[in-house]
Amino acid sequence: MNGIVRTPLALVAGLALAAVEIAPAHALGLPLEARDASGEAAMAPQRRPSGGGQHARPPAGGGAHAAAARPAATRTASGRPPVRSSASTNVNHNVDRNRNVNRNVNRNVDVNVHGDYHGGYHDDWDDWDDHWHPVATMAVAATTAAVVGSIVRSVPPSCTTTVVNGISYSQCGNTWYQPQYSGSSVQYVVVNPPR
Amino acid sequence: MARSGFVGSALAAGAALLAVAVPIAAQAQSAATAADASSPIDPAAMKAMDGMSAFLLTLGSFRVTGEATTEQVLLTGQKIQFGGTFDILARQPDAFKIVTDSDRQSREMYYDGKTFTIFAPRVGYYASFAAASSIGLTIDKAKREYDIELPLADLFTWGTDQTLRSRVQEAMVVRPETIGERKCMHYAFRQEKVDWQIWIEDGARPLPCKMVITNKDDPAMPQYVAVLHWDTQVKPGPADLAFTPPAGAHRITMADIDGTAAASGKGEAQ
Repeated sequence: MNGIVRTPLALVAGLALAAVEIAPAHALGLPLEARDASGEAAMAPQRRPSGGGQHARPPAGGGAHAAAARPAATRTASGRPPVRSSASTNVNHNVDRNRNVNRNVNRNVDVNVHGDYHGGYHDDWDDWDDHWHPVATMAVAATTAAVVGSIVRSVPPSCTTTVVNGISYSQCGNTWYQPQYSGSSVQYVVVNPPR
Repeated sequence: MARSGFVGSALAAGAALLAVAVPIAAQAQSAATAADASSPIDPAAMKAMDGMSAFLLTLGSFRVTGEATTEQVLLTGQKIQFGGTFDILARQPDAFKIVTDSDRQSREMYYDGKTFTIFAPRVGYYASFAAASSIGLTIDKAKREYDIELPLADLFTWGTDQTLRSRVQEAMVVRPETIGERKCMHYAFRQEKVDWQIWIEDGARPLPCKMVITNKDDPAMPQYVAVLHWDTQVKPGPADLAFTPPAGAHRITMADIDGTAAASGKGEAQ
């Protein structure tokens, strides 16, 4: 999911995600123009009924937690399964990887179970990279309510960067984001408009 | 330390003596045979790594470029592969510029002995932290405190970190192979969390031609594959390694590894 990460699972996209299992892409409520322009509807992967547990096989540790993930967590708002792990680009500096992975998996489980998680920490674990599919990103971001504290992977290209009191914001209409690095990814935290 | 870096630590004394006694890679087979046949670690493979590590340490500056593929594993177990390029320009002991580029993500990382900076050119945001005094320590800090993983970071730490050798559980010589137009010897190693393979160029310049890293944390075992091209004559100056924010670029904060607080105010030196 390139757009709103936590909040839509709880509020907006939660229903849509549930519907995904039986409905085509337009059930997500993506703007028609976005889908038409990009062929997004045609490109959307075929969805199959989620079996639940077997999707959630995590790396060592935390298995029991992740296996309990709700089926809704096996699809992002863009209709693609979230990423659970990735290759390591070096041999000897992945010592912390296990710890991170376990922590992140557990965080995600919390999100899925409680469903009302705002202001959460975003990581690569449950998401495509920010540049994976920019058009889908735009569609999701445009249709999702922005709750202060929620975090998105990317913002529409129409947003403008504004510096207020030395802090960089990305302003998208009435919604203000504060970009920050999380690892080597840029994420955007929804904030109150600066004064 | 250059010579003893990879050799020094964990190998049994007898095997170490044997490895030293056998002349270089061409003798790999005889070394393996002569060694304890039950040992999963072929001393010839370890010796090849020692030689490569020692040679890396002799390089004051280098540039290594190439193409890499990496994989992401979806929650379903399906693997998705992405390709990209890397360009690593380094000056020992305390400066580098690393550029990775792909359709998916583009990043630049800079280190000048004082500050580490990461820059995302497509979105125009950069962030910094106060770096450590050497490349190796800075790589460590980036990983441990900020969850930033530098590609092929091993190139900077092989030969200097005495503990790396003891992580190897199995090592073998595969066979001589050709990577592009280079003759390279293929080796394969196993560690607790990764299996990895390396092709080391024959001759007087024993540098890696290719690397494959298999992540065993996940049962789908995603792989990173890189083919490396070396320029060991390059003499980068400060301007070649420095980060100068382009017009329109903005400094942002960097979340710490727990994601609970932004590390604002760090690394103001940039």
